Amino acid sequence: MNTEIILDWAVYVSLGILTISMFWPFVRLFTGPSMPDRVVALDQITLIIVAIILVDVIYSGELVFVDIVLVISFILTLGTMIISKFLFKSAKK
Amino acid sequence: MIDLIIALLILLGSVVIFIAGIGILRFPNLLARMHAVTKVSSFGLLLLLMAINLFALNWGVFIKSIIIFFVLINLSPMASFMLAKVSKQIDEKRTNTE
Repeated sequence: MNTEIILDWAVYVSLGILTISMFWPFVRLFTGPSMPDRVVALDQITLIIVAIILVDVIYSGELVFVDIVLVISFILTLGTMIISKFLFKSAKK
Repeated sequence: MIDLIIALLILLGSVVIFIAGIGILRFPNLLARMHAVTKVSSFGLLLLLMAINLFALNWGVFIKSIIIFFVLINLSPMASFMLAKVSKQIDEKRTNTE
């Protein structure tokens, strides 16, 4: 009984920490000097969203969200690859 | 007892991702920022996946989390490598035009 309360408070505190930590990649996204800086910042924002969904699995008890994390992690890496391919082509000219 | 271990893993993982977020703002150049994102955030997500496996104790979740870990360890450095090549190309182009 007592340890479940500790787990609930750990989930609340970690959700707060993850929400605060989304602030710095957004600052880098708006003030980044070059285009790859912004891509790295978007990468970090998506990783933080994945972490929030993973904590939400423990908060809500629904194991379906693990599938969503699987799809989002594939889209994250493939999207970064495709954006860098596009930047490579446009920097060559 | 297992709830305490899950709580510790969740708090440790979110603090590690928080430190990676500080690093992306404070580091001086692009390659150092890429180091912060790729390695530190992958470690934080590994801690969160361990917490979920202790919470669920399910074979399907175990196999899915192994696939997520494979993607994060193998494909995310590939994307960062391509991005580093792009930044090198942009720097060479800038030095050629000056």
